[in-house]
Amino acid sequence: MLLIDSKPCSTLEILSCSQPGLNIHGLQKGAIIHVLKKPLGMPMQILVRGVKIGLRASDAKKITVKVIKE
Amino acid sequence: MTTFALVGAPNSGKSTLFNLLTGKNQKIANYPGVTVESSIGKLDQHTTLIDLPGLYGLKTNSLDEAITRDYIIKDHDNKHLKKFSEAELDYHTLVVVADSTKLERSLYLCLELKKMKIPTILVLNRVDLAQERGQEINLSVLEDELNIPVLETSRFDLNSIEQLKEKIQKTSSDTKTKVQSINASKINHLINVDNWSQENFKAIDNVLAKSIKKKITPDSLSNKLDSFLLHSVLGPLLLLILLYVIFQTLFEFAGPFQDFITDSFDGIASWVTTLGLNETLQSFIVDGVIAGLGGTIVFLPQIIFLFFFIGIMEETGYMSRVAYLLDSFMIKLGLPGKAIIPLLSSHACAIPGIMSSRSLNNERDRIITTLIAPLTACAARLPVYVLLLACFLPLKYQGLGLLGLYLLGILSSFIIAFIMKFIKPSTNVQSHILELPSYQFPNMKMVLKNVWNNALVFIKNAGTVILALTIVLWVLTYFPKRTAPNEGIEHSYAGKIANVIQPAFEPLGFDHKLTVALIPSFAAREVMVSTMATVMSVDDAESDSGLGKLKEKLASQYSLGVFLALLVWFVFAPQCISTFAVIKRETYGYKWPIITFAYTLVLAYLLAFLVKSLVA
Repeated sequence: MLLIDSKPCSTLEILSCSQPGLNIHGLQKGAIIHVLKKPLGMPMQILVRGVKIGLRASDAKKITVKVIKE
Repeated sequence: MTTFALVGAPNSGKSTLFNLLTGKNQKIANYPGVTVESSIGKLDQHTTLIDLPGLYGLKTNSLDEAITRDYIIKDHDNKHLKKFSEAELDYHTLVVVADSTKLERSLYLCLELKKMKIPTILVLNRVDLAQERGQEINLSVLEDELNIPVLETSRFDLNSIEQLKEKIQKTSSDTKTKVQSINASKINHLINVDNWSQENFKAIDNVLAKSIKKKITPDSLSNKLDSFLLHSVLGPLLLLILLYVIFQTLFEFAGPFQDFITDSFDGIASWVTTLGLNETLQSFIVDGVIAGLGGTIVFLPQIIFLFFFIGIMEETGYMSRVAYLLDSFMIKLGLPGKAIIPLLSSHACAIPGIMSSRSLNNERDRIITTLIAPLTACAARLPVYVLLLACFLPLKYQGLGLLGLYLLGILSSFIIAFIMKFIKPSTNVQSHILELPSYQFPNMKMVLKNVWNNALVFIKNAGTVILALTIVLWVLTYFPKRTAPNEGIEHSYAGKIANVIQPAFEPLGFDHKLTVALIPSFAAREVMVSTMATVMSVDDAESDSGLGKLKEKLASQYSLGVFLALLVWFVFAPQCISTFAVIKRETYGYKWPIITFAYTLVLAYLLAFLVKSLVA
């Protein structure tokens, strides 16, 4: 499924990331990420490699993930 | 001379270390992208230290990152590296600063540099925060794994800073490893290989698995705070309330200090009048120097409070949250969320704001951000806003009025960016990451240092540019000397100049005096206040010319429509000369400064006219 469709407080594994420029931040195949919050109309809050980031919906639509824990 | 350079991910604390090591005053804050310009400092007589803009890895996305990357790989064609001497470019060792609270991410650059065989020292900064959250590292294992020297630092632990200094000095005596220059395209080819980043992160995980004794715990306090401050509804509301409180505080807290400064200058002016000086010299000192200088200095308390609050917001990490809250607006405007940082920085001064647009990924975004940055209200406009609002608003509503003017500036910049979306559409969709750093208790020493630096700049401006312009204006308003006491400013040289220009401002409701005061403000915004003080003082020499009376004089002479038109004029009118010089430098030509000047002038004129027409 796409990252944009994931639920808050879930742990995911990235299967693919087609948006260039994100892999340097750790958003790449095999990475484990945690979705912290998905506030309405705002970027998703995710934890990747110990860093809390805001990720736009347009970028989250380009990342496919597998649910590890919900 | 031996050169060392500080490199590392944005917001890892490089500039803080640079300041502590060299005694310099580089701007620092708790959000990424603060340093966009490299700085040179001296560690000692023989060792130079260079602070470079932040860089996540050798694959760059923006102009400021490219400066650092090109410095590292010795690709000296980058024009931003021209300021360095040969010795400064030929570095001995790179000091990689990594944030200890996010090692999984911040060791990335270090790993890349190791692969490139570039000599490095690794500094694990903010170790105090990592330890507070339970992290324990085996430094010797980390050193062995990476095969480079590793040190721990904290800005609160001066011993650790001293140890870093000693380490750099000791390293400088080691034989220098010759770093060959590498072509940027060759680097790009190398790091664009599919599994490059995967391999690096895997290597980081391996190194950390061996060297971390106890893992860091999640930052639950930041998460709790963010659940309120970044809430879809509460977040923007709390931001507005916070801004209102700040602006109202500027008036309430600064009031007594302003009264003290006003009384002091008035006291000096009264004392000068008792000295029995000849009329011209007395007018020069009282109406020129004291009215001009005092008219500006009186706003120093507000400047101090403004920078104090900005400093607190930056130090705590809230500024990144402001960028996050406004991000959805930025998407609609066709700008990356990162563009909010230059726009927010422009509230202190447009110059660093425009320069920080270097952190944006492409030229189109940089140009548009540069174009709209002058619309956000800089600190130089604060004295003008404060004076004019106080002329027609009761004290309890002045904070609200000021907030309205700041919001008008932000909103206008958004509207212009929205229009530009159609004139100059974005061609490439780029990723956008908004880092949300952990909240931290503000280091008051750093905040006050920043306040002090900005207050000094304001005083320096008041004592040089503003004073010089005020004296010129006094000469123009005083001469030729009046032959009758009831002769106004119209008979002076300034009045005659205004006669030529004033008809253009007539539709806005600006008379001769306002026109005369307005013209020098093109050089620097805050000059308007001092020139207004001088003009009113010379024009009405018979009455009490104390600074405290300026507000009353203005209030009695002009209508609400004129005050609103003036405020609108100052929200939109072309910025100071220095701003245009920076736009020229950053856009490499005259085209964009001319366009910025023209559109802000037309906008200011039309909107001030509209306001004057609607409000009598």
